Amino acid sequence: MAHPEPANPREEAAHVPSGKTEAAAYSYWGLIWWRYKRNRIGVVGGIALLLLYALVLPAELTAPYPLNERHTGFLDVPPQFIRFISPDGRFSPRPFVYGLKQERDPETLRRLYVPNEEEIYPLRLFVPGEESWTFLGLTWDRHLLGVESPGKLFLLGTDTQGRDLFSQLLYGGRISLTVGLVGVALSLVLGGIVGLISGYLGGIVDDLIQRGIEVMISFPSIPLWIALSAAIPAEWNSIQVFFGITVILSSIGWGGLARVVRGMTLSLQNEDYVKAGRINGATTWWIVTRHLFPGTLSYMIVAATLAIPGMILGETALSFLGLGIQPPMVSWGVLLKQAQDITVLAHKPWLIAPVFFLTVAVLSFNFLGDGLRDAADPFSGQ
Amino acid sequence: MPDPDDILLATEDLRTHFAVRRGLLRRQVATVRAVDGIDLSIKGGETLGLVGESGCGKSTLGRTITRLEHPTGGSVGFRVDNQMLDITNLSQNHLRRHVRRHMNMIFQDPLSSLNARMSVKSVIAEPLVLHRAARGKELEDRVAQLLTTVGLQPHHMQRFPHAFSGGQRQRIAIARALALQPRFIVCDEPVSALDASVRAQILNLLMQLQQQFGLTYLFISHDLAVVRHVSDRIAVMYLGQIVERGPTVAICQTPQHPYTEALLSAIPMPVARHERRSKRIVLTGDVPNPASPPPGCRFAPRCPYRQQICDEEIPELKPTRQGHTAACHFADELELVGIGKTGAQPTTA
Amino acid sequence: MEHSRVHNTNNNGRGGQPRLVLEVEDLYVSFGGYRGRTRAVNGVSFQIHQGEILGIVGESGCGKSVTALSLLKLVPMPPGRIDGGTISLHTDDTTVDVTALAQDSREIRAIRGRQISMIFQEPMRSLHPMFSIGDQIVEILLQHFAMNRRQALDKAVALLERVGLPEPARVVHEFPHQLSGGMRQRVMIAIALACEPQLLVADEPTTALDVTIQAQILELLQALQAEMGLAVMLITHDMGVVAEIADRVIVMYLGEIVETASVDQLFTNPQHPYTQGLLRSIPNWTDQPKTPLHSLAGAVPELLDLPAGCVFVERCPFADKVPGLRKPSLIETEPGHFVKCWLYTEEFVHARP
Ligand SMILES: Nc1ncnc2c1ncn2[C@@H]1O[C@H](COP(=O)(O)OP(=O)(O)OP(=O)(O)O)[C@@H](O)[C@H]1O
Ligand SMILES: Nc1ncnc2c1ncn2[C@@H]1O[C@H](COP(=O)(O)OP(=O)(O)O)[C@@H](O)[C@H]1O
Ligand code: SF4
Ligand code: SF4
Ligand SMILES: [Mg+2]
Ligand SMILES: [Mg+2]
Repeated sequence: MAHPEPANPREEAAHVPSGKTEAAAYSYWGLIWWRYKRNRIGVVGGIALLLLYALVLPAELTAPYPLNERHTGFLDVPPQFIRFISPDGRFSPRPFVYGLKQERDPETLRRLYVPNEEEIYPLRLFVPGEESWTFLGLTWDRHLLGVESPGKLFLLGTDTQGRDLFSQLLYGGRISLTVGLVGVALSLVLGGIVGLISGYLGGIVDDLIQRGIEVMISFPSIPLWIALSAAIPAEWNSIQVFFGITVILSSIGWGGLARVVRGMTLSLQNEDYVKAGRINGATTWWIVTRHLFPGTLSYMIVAATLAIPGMILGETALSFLGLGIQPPMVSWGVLLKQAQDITVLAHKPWLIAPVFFLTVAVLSFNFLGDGLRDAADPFSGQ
Repeated sequence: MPDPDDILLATEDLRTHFAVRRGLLRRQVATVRAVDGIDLSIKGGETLGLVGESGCGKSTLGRTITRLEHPTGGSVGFRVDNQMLDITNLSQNHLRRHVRRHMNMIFQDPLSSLNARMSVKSVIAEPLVLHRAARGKELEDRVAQLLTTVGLQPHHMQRFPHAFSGGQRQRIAIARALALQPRFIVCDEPVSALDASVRAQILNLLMQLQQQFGLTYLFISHDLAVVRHVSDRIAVMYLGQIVERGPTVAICQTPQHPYTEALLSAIPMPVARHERRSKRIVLTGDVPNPASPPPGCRFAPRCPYRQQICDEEIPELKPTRQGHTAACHFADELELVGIGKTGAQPTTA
Repeated sequence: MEHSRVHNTNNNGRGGQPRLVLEVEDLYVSFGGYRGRTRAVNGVSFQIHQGEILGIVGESGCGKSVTALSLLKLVPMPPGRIDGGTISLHTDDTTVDVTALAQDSREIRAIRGRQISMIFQEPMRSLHPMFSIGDQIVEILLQHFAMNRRQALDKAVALLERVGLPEPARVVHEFPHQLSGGMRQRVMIAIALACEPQLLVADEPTTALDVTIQAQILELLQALQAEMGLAVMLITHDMGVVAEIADRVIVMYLGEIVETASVDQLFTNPQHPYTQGLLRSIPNWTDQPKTPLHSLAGAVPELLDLPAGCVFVERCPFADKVPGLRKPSLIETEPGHFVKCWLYTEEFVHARP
């Protein structure tokens, strides 16, 4: 047996894989952020959403025209092109639009709008509007983008009543995108609480809650929504309707979230750190608030992010059917109602624009949710 | 019998059963007798090693003793302020106020036992905060001191568990267990998830801390070699019951229960072939289901020495002539082989 | 029965040298990740002969499983990548370089199961929960042999009997969850042996099992190997297990082979400081209980930035006596005993204890 004595029996070095890895120094949330940043599609989704919200939330400022303003004499105008080359063929550093000239199609006698190359309206930032607006206590009369009167800026054209579609879209987006957020926030609170209770208490309480949720989830959602929205009193004002709709939408969403949270709570309870907490004298409240809730939080956020598109689509569907948001409030679903008819679409294809925005929003939420989900697992492929 | 004044923890006929429920109505279809009538006592300052195969109820026993689990029957006594206190039916509230700070636990998986969302400082501070033992600067000093005690450095308290290796995570868990200066620690497979070269470091640390703070351990492991190295006495568990217990060296050299012998014989030895023992008992069959244990001796279906009486009568745990306690009808008659008797190498051919 | 023991590596071709089954040369495997490339296997070379049990030991993450998976091209690619080396599989008439085959080519699928088969630590994960044990064996038999279902089922029962399952005729109709861990591992072995492979790769086959069940499985592997002349590559982190059944042992550390020897050489005369430290840190049956164990300092470093020289330099008690920053190479110190350490070169013989 040749077991040489070590020459320098070093102390058990406290060896932390320090400095070697950037991640080593990060906290749990730091680690999630660090991993999320590395997911390109997730980041694209996140940025797209930030831009979208930045555009729709202050719609009073970002929309060229106020909500429901009718431009008489400008019905069904197709989208205008933004131009950089002036009629004499020179490059103009400031983009501009031509004025609009009304003509009739010699054959069908339909009204047509053609660019009037003699009128040039350069695009301007912060152009004064006709009326001042108030948003979050701020009163101003300017709009982010526009042209000087009497020029018109219809980036996405107008509808049959002469309303600027782009402006309508921004105002509608504000409703559509917040319905999803508020609805999910409601489901999150409800689902989180019910899920935590169900998972932590277990036993009979858990059984009852789970059976209840199963029954609730097994209702087909669209008919249920339709039934519930039909019950919204006609005399409610727009704000009340808005909240009514969010409550209806979250009435189904919370069940799914509660199950996610319950599952997480159950599996977290088997983690030894929860047992260690109890050994160290932790109360139920402490365990739930210090260990279980933070443990499920990241998963709740992921589940919520992935649930938002469903709510947005739900609102759109209800409004499209005339059961959701009612004019004069607009949402993407309300706007799409105008595009119900195939002949309308053939002549005014720009009315379909809300679908594009809707798709971008839904996809972005899905990308963001997937990115967060991959990032939330603390030890996945470190 | 040890002086009753020395006894820190004692159980009597301790039982923990779990109901197995199935179906929509959650009817009880069976009872898992995870811990089924255990008597043991641990003296202050000693290490009692508990070995057995997986599922035999070791962890459940550990959790019952620390009252993470409510026992189905029997009693647990624990010495608090020099008074034996029956903690079997104390409320969690009462336990929190009077008992918890004196007993603690270390778990197998050091990753699962540390909350990944908490910094090392909050992990170790948790018991101190819960018992209002320290706050502010004092709390920080105490955490730093605990980290040093377990061989880490104070600046590690800012980091998060994922930044540490397995052995270091176990050190953090040990620091947390020491925070309230308990007298008794249940170590549930504390080195089973660790690499061989780190295992020795943690075992050394546990033994050194015991010396330093006069700790008492219930050391649970499926690895008899590890248990032998750290324990004063060993209890061997099979299907929810203790089949043999006694002083460490005696159990290993002269086992008196056939299961202990088989367990010893099954351990693969890291030695060259010519130094290998000749006799090797390979048990047949699997551990029976704890929901329906055999009627007589629980080990009978696998026992190479089984006789008719074994299937009929339950052997009692009683003192044997070698000075340990074994639950076998033939404990005194069988010539069983252990390991390490010659003193030179494991039993050779 | 005894013939497998006789042929250790140190008989240099004289007499009946058993047939070479597999030869790995200078294998490099790495995994991409956003923290950089993990160099899991770095220049590993070894051979396996017919009728031999080759043990591979090492601590978690040292590249044992990746080496094993490479033999069957089972390393997930990406993120995995074979960066170099060859794996030559010698069959009766041909030699195939496994590294050159495409990931899911027909050639590699013909090798899997038929030439080399594999069993894993957690048998439940490799068995399909929805199919009966019999169906799973039959499927493999039908894939590789010309026989009908009836014959295949009979053969399945025979295989289950061969691996020591009680009541094979009943077990063949059962589902994985109805079996215990030890029984499942026996089923896995039966499946692995179904096509009579030349080489069985067993990755920690007993780690999830209890010692008494582990003893049963090891005994079975040993019996099968002796009876069928099978070559077995047994991966484990348990020094006791290799000592118990291997003929030759490879010790790995951080993706490299640091020592390789016959089992008797390794346990009577361990030479690499890592092997020595590891063996001494295992609780010994002759120690006095409650005495401090010898322990290696530190922990296994990460594979992301490997030391430039010897892989063990950060923990080696002799590191300051030899040029730890230069890479040592494997040196034969006695017939069949190779060690990768400067201490065994002429130059540093004085530093040796
Ligand atoms: N699919 C994968 N992707 C990325 N890295 C991997 C993958 N598989 C293995 N690795 C890395 O390769 C290295 C070697 O892993 P391997 O599984 O071979 O270790 P091992 O020796 O078998 O350890 P254990 O004893 O834990 O099974 C490790 O650092 C591991 O993290
Ligand atoms: N909460 C529980 N509910 C039902 N059965 C349990 C529970 N905890 C443990 N058991 C069962 O009790 C037996 C003993 O388990 P355990 O104490 O964990 O064993 P060990 O620690 O010895 O491996 C096993 O059969 C296990 O499945
Ligand atoms: S009582 Fe009988 S069956 Fe039980 S251990 Fe003793 S000899 Fe074996
Ligand atoms: S080469 Fe040097 S550092 Fe490496 S094991 Fe040998 S003595 Fe130690
Ligand atoms: Mg256990
Ligand atoms: Mg492995």
